[in-house]
Amino acid sequence: MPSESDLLKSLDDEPRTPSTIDVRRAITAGRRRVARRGLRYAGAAAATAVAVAGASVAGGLIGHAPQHPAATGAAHTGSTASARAKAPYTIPGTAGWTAPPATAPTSCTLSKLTAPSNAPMALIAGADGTGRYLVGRSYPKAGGYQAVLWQDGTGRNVMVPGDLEEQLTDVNSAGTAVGWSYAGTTQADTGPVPYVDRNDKVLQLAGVRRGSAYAINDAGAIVGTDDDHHAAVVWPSATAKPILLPVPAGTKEAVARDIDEDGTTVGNLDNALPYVWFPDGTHRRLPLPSFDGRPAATAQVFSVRNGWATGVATNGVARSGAKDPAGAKATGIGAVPVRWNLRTGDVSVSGVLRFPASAVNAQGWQIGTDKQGRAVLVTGTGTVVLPELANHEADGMSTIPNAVSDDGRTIAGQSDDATGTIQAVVWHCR
Amino acid sequence: MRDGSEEEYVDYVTTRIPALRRLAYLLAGDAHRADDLVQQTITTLYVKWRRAQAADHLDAYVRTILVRTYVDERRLAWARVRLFRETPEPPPFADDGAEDRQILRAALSQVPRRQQAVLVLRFFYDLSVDEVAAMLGCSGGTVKSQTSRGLATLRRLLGEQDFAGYSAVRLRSR
Repeated sequence: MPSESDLLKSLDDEPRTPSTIDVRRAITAGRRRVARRGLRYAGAAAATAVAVAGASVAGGLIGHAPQHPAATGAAHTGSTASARAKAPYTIPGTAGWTAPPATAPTSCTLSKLTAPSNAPMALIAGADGTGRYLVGRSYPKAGGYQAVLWQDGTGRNVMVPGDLEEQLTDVNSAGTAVGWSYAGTTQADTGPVPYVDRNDKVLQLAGVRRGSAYAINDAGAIVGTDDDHHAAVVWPSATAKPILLPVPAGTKEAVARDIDEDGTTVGNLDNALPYVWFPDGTHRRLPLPSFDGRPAATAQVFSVRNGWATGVATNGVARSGAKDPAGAKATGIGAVPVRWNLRTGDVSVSGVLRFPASAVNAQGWQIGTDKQGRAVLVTGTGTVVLPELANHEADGMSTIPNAVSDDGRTIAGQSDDATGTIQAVVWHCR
Repeated sequence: MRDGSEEEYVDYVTTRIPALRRLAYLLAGDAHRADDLVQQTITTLYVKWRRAQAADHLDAYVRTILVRTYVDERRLAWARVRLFRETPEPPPFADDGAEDRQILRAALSQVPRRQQAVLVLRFFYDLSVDEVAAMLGCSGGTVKSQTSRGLATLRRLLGEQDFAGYSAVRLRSR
């Protein structure tokens, strides 16, 4: 009598016919799915803006959005339209917030964090500026995902509604955490729902049916997306209705990815144009860098801290399918990590990192993966390689730093142990 | 694409297509349906790429999309897809054990999809109960009960005698 394993292993798993799978067709179909949602955007977003902020605002935000100011990289002066009109909103921030002084660490040690309920696997996705609070998720033995908040190294499960998939993305120095959890029963309806966890109480953020919360500042302002309307939003507080952030006419989709302590919010338009919304209601494009001797075709910004913003720029080859301006083939695809100084308008390409930084701190120091595939902290004076839990090939996957404190002393993320299981880890640096 | 890393998507998907086809073929039992399943999977992956890249194990994440797409029949309009199919399924290789394998495959195709997925993932791919539970989005207990029900169905379909006869099947080394 053969074992079940022998029996099932006798199955032939090699299809007889040549593959008919077409990656370009998948991309076209995927884009169409996104575009179909985009078509509904203009009308629906305008209607929502009326509901949220009043008719005159809707006209200003959607109907007569300012022309893109030239991406000169000049310091923030406001676009022409928004400089004239009084801004219809402000984004909450902490007045007079300053970064703690810090000297660049030169070495880091690693320790593994225990997940609540003895979950076998966990990772950290975000931290507050002090590094006291860490957020992420665990993977319970029974399957699925569990949102987790660690305070001073001790984790507790955050009971976010929904069992499909959930993640806490950020936390502020008061321990208020934000994130998303998938909801919906049919495929068409399935999508993330934004949540906030404040004083151990989970609330769904107001005014958005499907969307994500990505970041929160110490003033309690939360940024993210309204996926139904493909809009970037700010929730001024955990209980406030969202502000729909204004975008230039013709924008199909906008996301807000991160918020600074002064309320400055960064995000992207149509996944191709990095954008900044200042607390006073003015807004503009971020400049694109040059690399390989040519101006970048697209860029996206993912993080901001104390005026430093980080993201990625590309030469646009991947998007255009096969052609690039110089006639190179699809192998000419290029993408480089970028850092902006929002206060001076400078933009620069990282010579150290392989992928866009996972996060940036108040000193402008970045964490991520270097060109050798190692987890690193890049300070103003050098690069510190972050140790891993077990020896793995340096591929940028087995050990990933995801959050860094403002003094650079605490870094948190994930590292695979000897069995290849992801573990939540903290690096203490000095 | 939300994070602008389409080139990474293309590279990733291109290298994984052979493995995804094998899994799809094991589940669907038909090369055309398998290709449809993979096509559907990589389309979904494109839409979710930004989030997928953040997944801890991208391969497992993609396999999960494929398995769930297969298990959830509502997600695939097989009938509609078939209307466009012209090429008939070619005959199987006439190598040793092929006939037995065809019988086994035929029997497996009569097992309910969810149980089928559990059997393939647990015994062909040697995934643990917990891993299968995570992929199917159910508890470990459900995986165990579906395993025993799936095996019981297979035994019934194959007959105890045929089932025993599989000891003669030359197993493919993997």
